[in-house]
Amino acid sequence: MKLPKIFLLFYFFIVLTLCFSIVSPVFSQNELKDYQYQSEKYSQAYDDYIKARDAYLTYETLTSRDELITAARDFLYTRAIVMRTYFQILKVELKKAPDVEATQKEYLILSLDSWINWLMDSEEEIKNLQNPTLVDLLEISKRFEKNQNTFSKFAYQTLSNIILGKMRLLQSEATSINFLLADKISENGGTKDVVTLNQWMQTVKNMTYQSQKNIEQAEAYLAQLNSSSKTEQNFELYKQIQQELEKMQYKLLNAIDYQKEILREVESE
Amino acid sequence: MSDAIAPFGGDNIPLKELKKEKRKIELAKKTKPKISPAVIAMAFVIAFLLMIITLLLIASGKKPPAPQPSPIPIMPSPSPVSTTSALPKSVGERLEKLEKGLNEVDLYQTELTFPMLDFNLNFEKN
Repeated sequence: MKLPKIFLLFYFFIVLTLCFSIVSPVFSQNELKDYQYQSEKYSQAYDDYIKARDAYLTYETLTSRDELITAARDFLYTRAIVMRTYFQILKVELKKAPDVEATQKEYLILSLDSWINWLMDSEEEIKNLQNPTLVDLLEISKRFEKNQNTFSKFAYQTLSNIILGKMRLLQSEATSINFLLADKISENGGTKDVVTLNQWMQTVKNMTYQSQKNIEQAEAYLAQLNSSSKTEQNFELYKQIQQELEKMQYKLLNAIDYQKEILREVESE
Repeated sequence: MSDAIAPFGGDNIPLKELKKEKRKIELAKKTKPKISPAVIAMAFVIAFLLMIITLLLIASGKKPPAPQPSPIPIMPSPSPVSTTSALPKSVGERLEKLEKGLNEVDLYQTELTFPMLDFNLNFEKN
């Protein structure tokens, strides 16, 4: 049996593509685990750094200073890794999020990618430091710390887009069901008279409309978040988006109860 | 057998030349190896193993989530018929699925909250 090399290569390519496409969701789970694991390592490194700093400030010996340098370096290294793995998770989640505006999605993915690369460079720099001093570590840390606002802004923008996309999809489905129910009422009224059922439908439509208003309000907060320049403000705006969507969720759940009641009436004939 | 003519040869060709020709062919054979059936079999075995590993990974409890339905355009005029193939057709089923989706959605995205990091390295007493 003779097979040309090109066929073998082609076969391998197909098999590998299939493998990667099937395994990729597992990879995203692994990324979450990696982030959680790195967070634990960071917590340990942070505790060690605080202890070493306290010891240095108390005794001010050369030994305690060297121990502080080692601990602070580990702290900086793990801090950069946690931030990077967090951005990697956000990127994966954003990629698979439904109903996110395409340009916004593309912009955020590109931005997250560039920060991931920046953080990887930062990790390398810390890892390759030769006999750093406390001043060296302070300088490296400042470069990271001055981006705190940018980091939190990208995180909250991404999270807001992910959750808004999911809620838009659900709200849109509720509105679609309203149309189907209205059709069913006009086809066969059920035991209740059509006028009453139409009045009930109007109540449900009002509720779904109100839930749409909540989404619009959340989108307005997201627009503010996009132009925000303060870390505390980023978090506040993200919280407001969540609150609006919580209201929307509550309204939609109530609307669903009414939709079910209308459906029971229509089908009870 | 004694009457047989040597390959590539005839009566006028000296024995030395015949040997030289043979060597050239052998060398050519050595420089251009064919893909043996063993190599092909090995390739199939590797591909098969890759598939087994993939299946094991999936079976280990990390089932890939169902593909997300394609985005439905937001208001103002939503279609009365579901635009996503993943959604069931009956209104009752769609209502159940919608309710489940709303109850399961994690608005606070607890696993993805911004990490609590110390953004203030310092070597001074607090």
